[in-house]
Amino acid sequence: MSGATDVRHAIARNPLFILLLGVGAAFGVTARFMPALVVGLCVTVVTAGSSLLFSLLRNSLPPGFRLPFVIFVLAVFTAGVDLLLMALVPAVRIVIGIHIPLIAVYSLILGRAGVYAFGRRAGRTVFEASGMGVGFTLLLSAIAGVREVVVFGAIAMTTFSHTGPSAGPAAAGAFEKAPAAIPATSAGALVIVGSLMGLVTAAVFWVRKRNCVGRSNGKKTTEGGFSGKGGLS
Amino acid sequence: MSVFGAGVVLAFIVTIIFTECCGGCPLIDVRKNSVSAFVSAGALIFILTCSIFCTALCGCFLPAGLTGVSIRIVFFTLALGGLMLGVERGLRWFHPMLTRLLAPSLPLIGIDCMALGVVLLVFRPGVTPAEGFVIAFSSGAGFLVILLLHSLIRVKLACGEVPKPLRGVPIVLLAAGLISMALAALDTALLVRLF
Repeated sequence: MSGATDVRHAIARNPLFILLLGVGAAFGVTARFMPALVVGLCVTVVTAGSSLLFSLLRNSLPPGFRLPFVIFVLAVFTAGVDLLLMALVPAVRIVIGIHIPLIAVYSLILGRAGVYAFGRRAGRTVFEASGMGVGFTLLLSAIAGVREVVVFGAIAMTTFSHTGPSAGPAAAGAFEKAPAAIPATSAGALVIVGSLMGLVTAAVFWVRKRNCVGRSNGKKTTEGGFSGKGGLS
Repeated sequence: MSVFGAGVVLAFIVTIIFTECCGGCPLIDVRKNSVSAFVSAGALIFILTCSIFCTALCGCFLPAGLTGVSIRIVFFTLALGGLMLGVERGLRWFHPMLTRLLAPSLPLIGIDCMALGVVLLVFRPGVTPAEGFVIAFSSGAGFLVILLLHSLIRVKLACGEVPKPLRGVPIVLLAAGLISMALAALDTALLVRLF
């Protein structure tokens, strides 16, 4: 398989918007841009590192022992990333809260380990895992950028005066006091991510319709976007 | 506030799925069938309560000096993984047919971000095992309420006219956002006074 095909597969199997894996992070850490970027990078490091290890040991581990080994390795990698963040950027680590430990049980990493890493060579596994992690980071950053611009008017790279991503319905009564703070809550995150998915799907429909009109043979295109193959309806 | 009041607040207002954003994947996967929502949430309540007992039991053997967050990540993840493997072995012994049906996904039900999230939230200084059990059960009950609401909303959405780009996941997320806002309208202080 060529590199271009790999890239196409990476886009078509985007964990957040197509496979719908790791959506908890999309809602939980995207209240501010910097935590979202850090979580995305952590996911990339854990995915790539664990995939490399799984791929190197794929012939040594008996099938029945793989799941406990995967759980152990992911927990150790996550603990290492947690220690690194506490040492380098403690303020960001505190804002992120529970979502760094949860990387150990993200379904996108577990799924990648189970489906890909134990069946392929090390170089290709690391390449695919890194690509998926980078795509995940870009999407998280985009969502966080939209939310932060809507709430604060600009993207702040250093200050962390906000109460953090856990200011959901626990902050009851906050909506009446500060309506612009809604996008910073989990309710706002759900609405914004849903709206972004709808916009992307509408764009996909528009492009396909345009391509369809442009073609002279009039081939019928299949339905795509989030309401198509990756959707639930 | 009484234990019952704390449970009601955790189940209906401070729902972990919206406050900590744990368990987003099952929320999106919920179908129009309310029975499947009951089964999914029931399984999660079972896993949550079992994981509290399991991790509390294992926590007795954790050396006193090893109480950092990073150590707890490894420890609790391994405890949850061990619990789920034990459940799988037990289920295979008692109900082989059900095990075959659930085979690929059964271990991953317990190794879920909601299970680990609740365990990490419960095992904090000052939280007794009984309080931890109430927190875990109430979080599961809140999850059940949200899943049921979602399945009913999906039934209504199936009858309505939804714009084509919003069909599927986007409308599910928008509905979840509206539910979250509705829950936020409930005042925690009111329930605290009631109980």
